[in-house]
Amino acid sequence: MGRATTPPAIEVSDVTFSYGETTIIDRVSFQVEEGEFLSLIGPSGCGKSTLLAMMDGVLEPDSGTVLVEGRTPNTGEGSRATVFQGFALMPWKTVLDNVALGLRYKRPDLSRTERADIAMEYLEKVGLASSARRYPRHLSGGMQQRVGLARAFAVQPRLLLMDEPFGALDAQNAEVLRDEVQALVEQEGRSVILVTHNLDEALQLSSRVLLMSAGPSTIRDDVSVELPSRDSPHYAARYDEYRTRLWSHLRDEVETTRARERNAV
Amino acid sequence: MTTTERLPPLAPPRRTAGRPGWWQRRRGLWAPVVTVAVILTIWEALGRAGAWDPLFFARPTEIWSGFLHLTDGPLWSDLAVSGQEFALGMLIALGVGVPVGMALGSIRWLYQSFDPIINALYSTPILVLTPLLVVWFGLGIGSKIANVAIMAIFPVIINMIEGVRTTDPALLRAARSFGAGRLALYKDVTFPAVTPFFITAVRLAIGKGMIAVVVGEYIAATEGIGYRIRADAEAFNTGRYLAGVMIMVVISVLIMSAVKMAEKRLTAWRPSISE
Ligand SMILES: Nc1ncnc2c1ncn2[C@@H]1O[C@H](COP(=O)(O)OP(=O)(O)O)[C@@H](O)[C@H]1O
Ligand SMILES: [Mg+2]
Repeated sequence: MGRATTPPAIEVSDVTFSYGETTIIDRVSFQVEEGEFLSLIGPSGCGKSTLLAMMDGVLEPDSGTVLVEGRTPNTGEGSRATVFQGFALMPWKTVLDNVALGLRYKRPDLSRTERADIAMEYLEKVGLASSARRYPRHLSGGMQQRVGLARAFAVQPRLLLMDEPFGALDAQNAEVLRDEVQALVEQEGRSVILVTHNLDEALQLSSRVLLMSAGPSTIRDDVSVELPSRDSPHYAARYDEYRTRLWSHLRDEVETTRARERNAV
Repeated sequence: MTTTERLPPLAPPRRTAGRPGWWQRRRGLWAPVVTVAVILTIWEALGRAGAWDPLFFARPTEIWSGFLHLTDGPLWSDLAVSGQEFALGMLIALGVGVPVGMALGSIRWLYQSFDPIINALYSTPILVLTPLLVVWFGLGIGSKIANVAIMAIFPVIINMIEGVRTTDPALLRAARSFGAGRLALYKDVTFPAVTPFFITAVRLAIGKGMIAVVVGEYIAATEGIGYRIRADAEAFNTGRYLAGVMIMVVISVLIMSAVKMAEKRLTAWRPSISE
């Protein structure tokens, strides 16, 4: 009794958010424990990116609270980093300077060379050390997202936010990069929120899946994923079980969204 | 006493199928020179044959001697005056236009209030104001500086607005997410993103500013290259008049090449057209 417990990595309580008249997120609550790898899945436009922006302190909820490590997130503070679907690399900065971007703001105590050294270390981890002096436009999509990953990991965030990081990549590049992300996360040991619309991606990477309904969004399902190792004889059956359960819900929500789009026209 | 038959030697490769010669490779270099030389020769010949009244047009040799006259006489002080008017006017246009354009581009209600007015002014031939500016600022360089400033400022404002408004929101979001403050957002995202627009603005402003100087001096002045061109035209000193025009052409070309070089340096990260 009375032992101080560390606050959860993220605590979303009764959060509502609207753009103008349209309610996007409707009284959503959930918690993410430290070290958890949570996938947020839901039909497109349901408010996943919006929710992620609130965890990042870029948006504020209209009502309710979002706490990260027990505190209201503010941009510029805290140990977070985001990986974006469209990469969001500065076209006028070299690959190395792009990777060092977060360090520039979050680690002003370091000298320029120290920051460059760290950036280089993370570029090596994603296999792009030889492209350090090139500009993003010279890189393929897969390479650009590796730069995005290096930029995020370089600040050594305790919380990693990823908004459809493989969404703009072709299937093969996405597959390869998923494995790399998994390896990096295991190596660096972070809490991760992954926004995706890909069920298999969610099941492969995460320890828990939150399924959001079509807007105004609520939490439709919350599943802890415990899969045996991949060479186990039970793997396929368990995987299918999870997939069937999540897909039955997701399909409903996608159909709701589609019906609404049809009526809107 | 051989049993095998000797094959005839292979024919040497034909020259025409080989590498193009110097003349072919360097056509871009000499072709324009030859073209200009031919035009000048025909021009001179026609003039000497009496194809036009020398009051109305001049031969290349007459223009050349007009040029020598100018360099001997008022040219340098005229250029100094015009250059000063142009430089100060541009300084005002950029010094005011860049911050105003960026503010209008970043602040929604300001943009909504002023955008129609600025577009209306941009499409108005503001040079009609020159006489009024002469009344306000006198015959000297003041009215020309004002002329340059108000002609050049609108393309600057409009391009800066456009640059700020088209800055990729995803980049701003990413920089904020990684902890950039207000100042850092400007320095690391907005400024680099508007640089290409700034260069376009400078290019357009230079064009407008040069017109403004010359027209301003043309209408009411006592010195300057525009004044000189007009005075020579009125005195039917056609050779010198055309030499003045040529000097203006050369100066524009030089300034525009300088802008191009600056552009290459400032926006090395952008794909060039040849890529
Ligand atoms: N800046 C904005 N202004 C108005 N509506 C927006 C804005 N950003 C997003 N939306 C709308 O909010 C809804 C949720 O957006 P988002 O969070 O990006 O969805 P998701 O990431 O789940 O696809 C969408 O319907 C979208 O059209
Ligand atoms: Mg999204």
